[in-house]
Amino acid sequence: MAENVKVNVHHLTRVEGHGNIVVDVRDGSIERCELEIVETPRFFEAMLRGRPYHQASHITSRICGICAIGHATASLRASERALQVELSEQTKLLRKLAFHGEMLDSHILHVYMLIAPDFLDVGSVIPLATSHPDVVLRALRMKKFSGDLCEAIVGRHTHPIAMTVGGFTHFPSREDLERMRERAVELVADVDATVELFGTLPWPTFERETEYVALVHPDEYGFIDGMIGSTDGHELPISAYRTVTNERLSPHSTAKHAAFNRDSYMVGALARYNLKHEHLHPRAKEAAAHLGLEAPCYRPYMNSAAQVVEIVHCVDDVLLLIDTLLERGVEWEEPAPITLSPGARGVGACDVPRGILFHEYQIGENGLIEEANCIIPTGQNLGNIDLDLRALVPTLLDQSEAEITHKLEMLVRAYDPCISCSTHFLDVEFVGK
Amino acid sequence: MARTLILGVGNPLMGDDAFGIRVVEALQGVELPSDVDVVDGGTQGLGLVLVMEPYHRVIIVDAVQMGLPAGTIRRFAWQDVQVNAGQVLSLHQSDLAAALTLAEALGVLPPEVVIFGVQPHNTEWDQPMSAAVEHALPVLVHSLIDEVRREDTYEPKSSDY
Repeated sequence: MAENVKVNVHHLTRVEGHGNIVVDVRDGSIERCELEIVETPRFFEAMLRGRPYHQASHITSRICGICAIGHATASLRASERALQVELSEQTKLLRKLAFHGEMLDSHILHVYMLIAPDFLDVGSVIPLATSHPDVVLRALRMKKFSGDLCEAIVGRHTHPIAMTVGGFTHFPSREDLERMRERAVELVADVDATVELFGTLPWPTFERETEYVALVHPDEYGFIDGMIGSTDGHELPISAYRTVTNERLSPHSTAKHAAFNRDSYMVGALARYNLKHEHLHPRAKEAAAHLGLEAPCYRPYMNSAAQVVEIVHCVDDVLLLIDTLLERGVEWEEPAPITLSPGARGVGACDVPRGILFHEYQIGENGLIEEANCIIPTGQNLGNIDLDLRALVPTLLDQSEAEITHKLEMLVRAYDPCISCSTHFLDVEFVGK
Repeated sequence: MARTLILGVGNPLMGDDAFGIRVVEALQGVELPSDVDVVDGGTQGLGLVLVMEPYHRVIIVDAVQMGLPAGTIRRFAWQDVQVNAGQVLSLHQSDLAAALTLAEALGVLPPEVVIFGVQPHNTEWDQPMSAAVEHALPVLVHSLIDEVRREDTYEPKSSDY
């Protein structure tokens, strides 16, 4: 067994943003083992202060080009809670539909473009296109569907323009919905092929039990609103999110770390699966069985498998939502009215592709944002990634440094980290390093 | 189905990078052959693979760093560009280069891919287009119209039969 191992992955590839994996094992004991986050802080919260509430969703959507609808939705829910807005049933249905479009887009990007190359033994999606063109073309078709669904509902592939506080400013026509329904039906073959492909991959068996946190709903596998659930048996209202996140600074990261009942917790598809798999649609449950995903699952690499399960679930849910909307008919609606009051606070939460996202705003009587706080999933996962790395490294010491490096990179990628989104605090100590 | 796609790409908020999008806007009022589509590709990345796929010929308009005087227009074939990738041509939109590379690897790149590049002066946020690039706009629009009215070189000729 190797007594000394040094791994230094500078700017890990196939993740969003800049992070380094640093491992230093001397005489068989771990001196350093962490994911360094070196991305520049973003300061979106400061940007929001003094801005009218109705701009917030458009500004914060720019935090991320992948989960823009997620940020916009969490932002709208925060403002709507602060401004005592009651949403119509139609608004809720349309928001869910757009949310699914983005969930699909993000998961397809992650499992096909970022994860599959590791398993199919190619360095990136470009050689994958040469060796498995059918796989990449399928991914592109599925991504196009997702983007077009978002565009039909919120006006754009990314950065929704038609969602506003209290409702929508544009509504899909019956033809739009029928067209997307038809395409969703056609997509089912690609979804099946996706499950088939990912069912053949040798998922690493590394396992470390941790606390899993996700939004829970009494009767659905939901992504918007609900309660904050934990596998350690807690259920809290969204407004109590700070009790869960307990953000703290970490010397090796420009993003804050989080901890609830233990030293760290995990959010994202695997956490959602562990907490609410019984609410998945039947075909998604079958997919989970095919992928070897069994709740509770403590294998972090399986987060990507859980994303595949959510792809199946979301496509089936898109069909159900479109059917419901077609049956009800989509009517033009004014956004629901707001009530301004001094120092009103509201918290919005969504389970975006990478896990729970919180936005909290304080809005003055003049409609200007006085205070804002955004807590991003990747930030919540960072502490858990570090602890996984520390547990994983000792099991790999008999392998070559190249193999160790590859396994560690795959572990970090499994969390689908979105590093640029999570950085919003500059640790002064870090700068001089 | 149209055979030719004119694809303007770029970010209209970033100075001369607006060029491709401004060309798309300028073509809105122009009568083009019926087999020509004009699309605003914005800052899309890999999604462009499927946008381009159905066409026989794609003409891309973008700001391109070529080390030439600002406003200079150059016409390249994608195949020629690849040879010198990284030196002659560093597309401001690296996502476009990725899309073209991916399409090629997938074997779905249209047979004819032409790039009309303009040398930008300034691609900073929140700037207007520079005067030199503004002057290049009508020139390029004319060249484009000539290009799409030119006989398609891949069209089977009567002598082939």
